[in-house]
Amino acid sequence: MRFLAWREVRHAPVRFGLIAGLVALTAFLVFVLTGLTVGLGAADVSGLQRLPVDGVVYAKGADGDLSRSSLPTSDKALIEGVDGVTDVQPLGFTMASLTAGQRSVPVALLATDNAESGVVLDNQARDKGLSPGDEVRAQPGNVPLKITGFADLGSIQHAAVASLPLKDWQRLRDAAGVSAYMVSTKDDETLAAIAKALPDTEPLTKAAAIDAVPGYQAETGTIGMIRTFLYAGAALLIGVVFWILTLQKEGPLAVLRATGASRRLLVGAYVTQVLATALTGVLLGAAAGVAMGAVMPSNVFVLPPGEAAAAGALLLVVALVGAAASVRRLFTVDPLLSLGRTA
Amino acid sequence: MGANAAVLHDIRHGYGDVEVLHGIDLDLPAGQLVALLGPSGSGKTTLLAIAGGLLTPTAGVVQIKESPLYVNGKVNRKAASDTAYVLQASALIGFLTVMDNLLVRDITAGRRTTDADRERAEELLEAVDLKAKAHRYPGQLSGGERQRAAVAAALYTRAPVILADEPTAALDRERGRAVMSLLAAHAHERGAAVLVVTHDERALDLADRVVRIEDGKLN
Repeated sequence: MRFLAWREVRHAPVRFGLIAGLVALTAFLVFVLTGLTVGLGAADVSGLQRLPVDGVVYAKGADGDLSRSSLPTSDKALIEGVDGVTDVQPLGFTMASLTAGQRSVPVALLATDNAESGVVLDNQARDKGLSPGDEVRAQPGNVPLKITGFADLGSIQHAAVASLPLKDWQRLRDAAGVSAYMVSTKDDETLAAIAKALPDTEPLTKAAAIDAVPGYQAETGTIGMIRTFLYAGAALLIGVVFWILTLQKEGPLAVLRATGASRRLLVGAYVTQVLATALTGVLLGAAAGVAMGAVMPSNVFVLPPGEAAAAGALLLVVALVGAAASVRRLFTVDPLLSLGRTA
Repeated sequence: MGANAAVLHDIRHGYGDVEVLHGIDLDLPAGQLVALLGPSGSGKTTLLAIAGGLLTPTAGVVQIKESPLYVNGKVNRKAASDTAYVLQASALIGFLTVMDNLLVRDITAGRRTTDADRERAEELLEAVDLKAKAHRYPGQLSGGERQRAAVAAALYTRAPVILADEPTAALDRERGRAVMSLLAAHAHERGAAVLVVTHDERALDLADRVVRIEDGKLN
């Protein structure tokens, strides 16, 4: 079957090149959107993903929005008293700006009890002209803070995480409470027990807390929808192209059937062609997508090898699904056509 | 005369209520070229399709080397593999070179081609004066060259029954005779049974037997 598949491609390189080009363009868009989904998603929630907790306890009505959540410090002891809770850490959160002279860097202030003194910034803030030892002021509040270092802390709502001690955050907020509590639990049912014991709270699993970050669902959902349509479009496009190609070679297929070619051989050659063409297109699209990613900001475009491989594999499956429509024609091609007639 | 390589007995075929072949009996002896002559619409191509396993007859028996070609209405692949068609020039596979149009018969039969196969293909192409054009595509050949390539492709199979569909169509007298001579030589020298469907009477002297068909009956 490779004999037939390859001979036809060799005879019509421009035709198959154009098909591979179409697949490559589609694959390029898929890879770029995949990179954006991962990158923008990480920019939205990676700061929360890195927290070593099982759940987050918010104030009732906050709907998982840390900015809208405020709980008293006295709740810590009450949560610790719930069966199944193994650890409770208070969390302070504010979207803020760090200013130093004319420079202003948006940050997500994330305050915990065990944070280092001063403020530790995510590595991406290095590019903003800030250095360890710099004195900055947190706005609003105009509270002076000293940068003590950089670490891989991630982002929340597209702002670099800035880690600081809870007491500094409370000073900045001029309030004694906390935003929420990070909890470690034996199981998810413990979260329900917390909600029951503290009716003014809203405990969420870590995954639910991430999904609840404002804008995250809308952002990833929109790009996800575009990707879905792109996959569907790719299936349709590849399906139509191979359908036309199959129609065009009905004569040669009939001759092959008349010379004894089995349907299995014809289908095998066809699938080989589809896979080879689609794989070439996907590899070209991947190369272009990676090149595009190299010139895009690293906090916007992230294409992990696993995600890229999954997107590529899905495109190959989509190509086969699209091309499957023509398989029936291969099965039904009438060898009598080789005698220049149907009967 | 050799034994019959193919036997068609009481072949009937119809489309809907219209019967186009009315109980045809035809023997194809090994080592003979039989010409089947008839006007358009007489049923000769239908008979050719039935003889090679491309069309199941409504009734009747086809035997290829004493094996039934149709069993319970389905084609017996083993018997069918003992037949080969010389298709019209336009039926060469356009994306294969002339050489590959021969070798593809091995591929479709599930055999791996060897150097010996290639040598035999070259010999056949030499016999039809196409060795120099073995690596050209059918679209790069003239009509006569394509027809000779189609003959070589069928002969490459070594099938004991060769069925030729208008092999001299669109050829001038000289080229037409050359093609018929080639088929006759194959029948005589290789002991194959060759059935040539034609309405061209210019090369009938090369046939061992001429059978005429009209309105679905042999005369």
